[in-house]
Parts: sequence; structure tokens; C-alpha cells
Amino acid sequence: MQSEFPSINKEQAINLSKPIMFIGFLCGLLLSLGVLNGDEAGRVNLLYLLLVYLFIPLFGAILSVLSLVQGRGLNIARLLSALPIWSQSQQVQLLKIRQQKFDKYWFFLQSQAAALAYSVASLLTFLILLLATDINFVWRSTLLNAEQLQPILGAIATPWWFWEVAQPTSELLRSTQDSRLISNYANTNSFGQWWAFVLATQIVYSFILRGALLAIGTTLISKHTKKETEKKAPRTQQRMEQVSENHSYASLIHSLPTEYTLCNWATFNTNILQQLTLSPKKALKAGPSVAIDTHDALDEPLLILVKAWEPPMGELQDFMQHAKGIIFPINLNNKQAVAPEEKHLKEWQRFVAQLPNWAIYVPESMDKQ
Amino acid sequence: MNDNNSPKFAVVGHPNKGKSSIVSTLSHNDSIQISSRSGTTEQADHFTVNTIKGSYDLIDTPGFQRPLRVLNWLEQHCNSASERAATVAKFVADSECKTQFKDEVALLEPVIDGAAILYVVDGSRPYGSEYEAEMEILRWTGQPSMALINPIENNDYIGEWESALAQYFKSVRVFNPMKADFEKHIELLQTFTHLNPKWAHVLGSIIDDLQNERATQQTTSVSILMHLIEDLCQYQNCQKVLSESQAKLIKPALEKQYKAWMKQREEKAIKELLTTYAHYQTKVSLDQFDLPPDLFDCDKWFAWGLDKKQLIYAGTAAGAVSGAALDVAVAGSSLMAGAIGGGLIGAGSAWFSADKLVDIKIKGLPLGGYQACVGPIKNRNFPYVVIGRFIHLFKQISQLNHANRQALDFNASDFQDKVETLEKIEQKELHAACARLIKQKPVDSLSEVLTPLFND
Repeated sequence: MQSEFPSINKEQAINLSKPIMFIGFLCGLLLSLGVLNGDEAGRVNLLYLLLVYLFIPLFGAILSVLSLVQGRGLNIARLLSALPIWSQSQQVQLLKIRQQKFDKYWFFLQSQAAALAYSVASLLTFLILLLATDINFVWRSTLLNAEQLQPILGAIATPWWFWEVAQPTSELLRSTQDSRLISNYANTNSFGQWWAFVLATQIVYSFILRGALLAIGTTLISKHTKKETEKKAPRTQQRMEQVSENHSYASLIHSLPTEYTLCNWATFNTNILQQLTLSPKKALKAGPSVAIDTHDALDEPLLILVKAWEPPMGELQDFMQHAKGIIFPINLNNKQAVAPEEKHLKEWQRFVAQLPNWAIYVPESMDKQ
Repeated sequence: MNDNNSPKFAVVGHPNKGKSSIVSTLSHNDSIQISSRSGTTEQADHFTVNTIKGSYDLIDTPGFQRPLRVLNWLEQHCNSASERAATVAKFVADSECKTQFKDEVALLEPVIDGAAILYVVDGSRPYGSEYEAEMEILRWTGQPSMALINPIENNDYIGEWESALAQYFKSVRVFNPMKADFEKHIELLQTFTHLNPKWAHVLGSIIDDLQNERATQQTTSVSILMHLIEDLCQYQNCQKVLSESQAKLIKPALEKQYKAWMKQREEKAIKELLTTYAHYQTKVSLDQFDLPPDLFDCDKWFAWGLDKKQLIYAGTAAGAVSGAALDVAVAGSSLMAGAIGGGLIGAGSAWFSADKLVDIKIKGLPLGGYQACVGPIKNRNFPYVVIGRFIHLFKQISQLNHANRQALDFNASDFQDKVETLEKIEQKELHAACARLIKQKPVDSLSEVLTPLFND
């Protein structure tokens, strides 16, 4: 079982959502049918067509690009994703897209797909109705006249300047201006001549524009997912070497031999020494602060006093190799000699275990403390 | 011989005084072996702390073993104070010394090579004169040096140590590698800049980088929590079955899988959090969430795997398209009545006939059935529980030093207090975000809502 929702890969990310496209297609179909429906004489208002085939796609494209730049905002896909129509798995997919931080690209891409579907539906509807019915393109306006409208339409038609039939002319505008009070038309041929302009508007401002944006969206997602994959490359985990903890420990003794030489290696003061109630035969001055002549023969066993908390060092080891005896680790608590802590005693036991002829002394009185 | 361009610090001292712990904490490296057993470090190990603008080396060294004998050797081979550093270099290069005093050679080699000295002592144990030989040896090297008092068990002897160390070192600092927080690390690095003026610029840049990295780590942590809470609130474990009794039969298995998934998901988030702060060895003991008991649900599912709501939408769309086709057929004279009417009929049919689809079979295959589901959790408190647990752990992990190898535990009881310290507007945003999460709705500003919880 996976411990999280699976990540979205590049192929899944650029996969176009069929429900979103279907909704775009349906909108294009219904709106085209609505505006191309016209009245009983088949008259359709050219300005309505511009609203559906120019203004809506262009405005939508601008909104999409702004949403992409800002990272959030309105676009078709984002609005659709908020509808309560998505299944659990689709919701999970939307969540992963958001978590992988390419939601703005994904929504941008899907919006282009929806707009492209809208464009295809519009084009198909338009072409079918051109073939199957007589569409009479007219325009009506209370405020605008043909001279005012012509430069605007001329500017719209600039991208297809080479297609002469699809260029709006003042003459065509004048001849197709309509009023609902007119019932008889002198020349009906000119009413059909706008089809090329409308078709070119749809192709350029809807189909090609959205197609280009779709390609840009796909590229952006591909780049983003590639970058994410590189970023997610697993970090090298540093490995800790396991140190073997198999050690031998010297056993403890609880009584001292009758004769021994005392060596106050730790230089404990008289107060501490008195607490220990030791009765050595003699004393030897040696320790880390004192130069030691290790060549002296030491026949009697030594009792070496050490600070329990200080780890055994090489100097002591060198000294002990030339002698035999007992190590007495002492801990201090408020200037009182006490038994060594368990961890410190273990350390000394490990140390003494390496040296033959040596043992560790912990008085029973201390051991019970 | 000396390369003073790249900052290098040799951490030296008596055995078992926390040298490796200091290196581990300062290098943010939890792979360094730390043990209560002395002599764990047998050779000088170099650890490089790399940042964007620079790097510095920390050298973990073995402890002094024979300082008195080494000092005797140095005194025998030195005629005047001006030759002391050269005599130490001679000691390090001497083949006989390499055999007799391998620990001292290993620890003095990086110092001779230009590393500054960080001398470590235990502030919880009394000062002893046996330390003087090793401090004297370090003084002979002539390298910039600083003493660090590591209060391993308590602070009882810090004063005593400070008085002794001040005679040998210009700078003496108390630094506990187990407990020091990030600010203390930075403070210590800032004092390092005074050891060698040539390193001040590089160390300054490194400090800037470390502070920036700290901020990035917090942002990443917010992001990890954000994904965790979204996933946990969204997760649902479903299985399609043919009857209600079958659904009840698989309930225990579904619940078990559900709980295991939730646990694994949280563990994964914690692992990500640990990795963000470069903790690879830390163990976390994690208790299972207290999940509410009412997680099981059995819904009907219908044709093509759609539920009733989805079926109504599909019916509406299909009806509208069919009606629109009729509109086209009558050349629009129906005034879109076909599309609107078709949509309504499609929606109505789906609404009324959906329940009957369960019993319909086509060529023996059922057209509908039941879906047994566990989750998602609807309990309003659930997001707070997830956030509380994570924030609690974040506080521990973000302050966890790399020398500290203790397992982390869970106790998120103080989360409510944390929420109450937020501004009213932040509290309101948090509550609104949690309310949306529990309804499986996206929260665009979740990162901004959660960030104040990560601040101190």
C-alpha cells in the first residue's frame, strides 16, 4: 500500500481533461446555436457574433494569461474545479496538482483545452449552419454608424489582411445595416457576405490563439515537472558506522590484600584519603601531573586511586604495564568519596580487562551506597 | 605548510569530554559516532560544513593520552620560546613519536596544518591539574585558540573551569552540544570570527547562509504539514461491492487499511521533516491517531461508476445536448427550448431512476451496486490534531541537535495554547481553513495560515 497519494507525472499532467473539454464544447455549441439561430428571416446580428466569437475568447485568453502570471485568479478550469461534480479520484488528482505546485499551469492548460473545444464546437456549428441554412448577417446599432464601425472591424481583420473576401468594407457595412422597421430589402446578396469575416475571426481569435496557448501550457508543465523531478532526487543519507559493543569487563573485588603500596594517581587531598580508611605499607608518588620513572621495579601490589569520572588514559596504562595491583576508582559528591557511577565503572572495567595482573576495587560499603 | 584561507577548527581535549558531540552539532551531521565510551575517535576526522557562499572544516580528534610525556619530549627538544611551534611541528613529523604518541600526533597534525583550536572540557566535573600539560602543549602551537566548556551533566564547576582556562585561552565559552539552540550555534560561530581575522569574511557569509537555510527549512516544514493535512483530510478507502451485507463484511479490512495508510502517511511526513533538518538517525515513537468511530459509510454506486449526484449532472448534460440537436433540427425556432427541456428531463430521469439501476442487469452484469467506504474524516477537530502533533514534533526536531540521539516522543497537549497565542485574525483564518479542509475543499492560503504556528 502506498503511504501517500501517487504523484502526478509529466504524462498525467499534460493529459487534457475530457469533462472540462466536454463542458467547453457544450458551451460553444449552445452559444453558437443561440446567436446563429437568428429570427424567423434568418437574420443574425453581427455584433452578437463578435461577442461570442471574438470578445468571449479574447477576454478569456487575457484572463487565463493573467491568472498564469499571478498564479491564481479566474480561469475556466479553476472555476470548473470548484464545482461539486468531481469524483474522489479526480479530487485527489486536483490535490496532487496543487501540492506539486503546477496547478496554475494545469488550470491554464485545461482552460485552453476547454476554449479550444469551445472554438471547435463554434466552428462546426457555424459551418454546418452555413451549409444547411441561409444565415443573413446584419448589424444594428442605435449609436454607431458604418463609418465608425469600419475602422474597428478593419483592425480586427488585420491578421488576415491577405484574405480579401474576409475584409470588412464600408460598402458592405452600409448595405448590411439593419433596422427592425425595414421589411423589404433591395439587395439580399450582400447579407451572406460576412461569413468569411466571421469564420476568420473564429479561426484567428479563438482556434489559433487558444491552440498556441495550449502549446505554451504544455511546454510550461513539461518544464515544471522536469524541474520538480530533479529537485526530488533523493538526498544522500549519511550512514553511521556501527561500532561493535562487544567488550570484556574486569571483575570487581571488594577487599584489599594485607600489604600493598598506595599510589594517589588522582592526587586526592588528605580529607578524601582519610575517608577511604586505607592502611598501605608505603606510598608511591606517581600520576599524570608527576614525572614517573616507570623503570623502577615494583614488587608489591599497587593500589592506584583514580578519579572515576575521568576516562583512563595512555599514561596510566603505560605505568600499569610495569606493575601489578588494583585500581580504585573514586567518585566525589560534595567533597565526599562515593562509589563510581555505573557508566564510569564500566569504562574502568573495560580498561582493566586489557591488562593482566590488575583488578578493580570497590569497597562493599561504597557499593551499597 | 599553513593554509589559513579556509577556516579550520580542530576540536581537541581530554578523552570523552564531548568533542565528537560538538563536531556533530556544529556540522549538523548525525552520522558522527558518539559514545559514552572513551576512545571512540581513533583518528582525526574532517567534517566540512558547506554553504552556498563558503565552507569551513571541523576536525574531530582523538583525546590526549600521554600529555605529560609529550610535554617532556617537547621541552627536551626546544631551546627557546621562539622555537616552540616548530618543535611541535617536529614532534608531529617524527616517526618515533607517530608510534609512541599516535593520539597526540593525530590531534596536533591539523593544528600544525593551520586549524584553530577548540579545546573542550567538561564543566560538570571539577578542574584538575592533570589538564595543564595538554593546555601547555596547545599553547606551544601558537595557533588561535578558544576553550569550550561543555556542561555534560550539570553546571557545577563552570566557574572553576573559567578561572583556569582564562590563563591559557583568550576566549572561553560555555556550549552544550546537546541543548544549545540555533541562536547559540550562530553566537558561537560569530566568536570564531575573532580567532583569525582572515576568516571573518568567510565565516560571516557562512552565518548568513545558515540563517537563510534555517528560514528555508521552516518554509519546507510548512509545506510538509500542508501536504500531510490535505492528504489525511482527503483520504478515503473505498471498495465496490454488490450488496449491503457484502459491504459490512469487508468493513474491518477497509478500516484496518485506512488506519495503516493514515499512520504511514504521517510517518512519511515526519521522515521528510527529519530529512529537512538533516536528521537521518533519529527514531520517533509514533502513536496512532485517535480516529473517530463513525468513518464507515456504504453508498450506492450506479452506471459507469458514477454516484447519484454525478449521474444527475451527466443526465443533465446529455439531455441538454440532445435537446440542442432538436433546436438545430428546427432551425432555432424552438428558442433553445430543446436544450433547456432536454437538460431538465435528463436531470429528472437520473434523479428518479438512479435507485433502480442497482437492480438492473445487462447480460448478467449488474448496472449498479454498493460502495463501502472508510473516510474521509468529517470530525472538525481532526485537522487540529494533525497540526498539533506535527507542530509539536517540529519544535523538537528544529531544535534537536545532531549530537542528541534520543528518540522523540509525542505529546501535543500544548497545541491549544499555541493557537491561543495567535492573533485573532490568524486564529480565524486557521479555523476557516480547518473547516474547509474537513470538507475536502482546497485552501489556497493554507501555507500563510499555517506559518504563524511555526514561529516562536
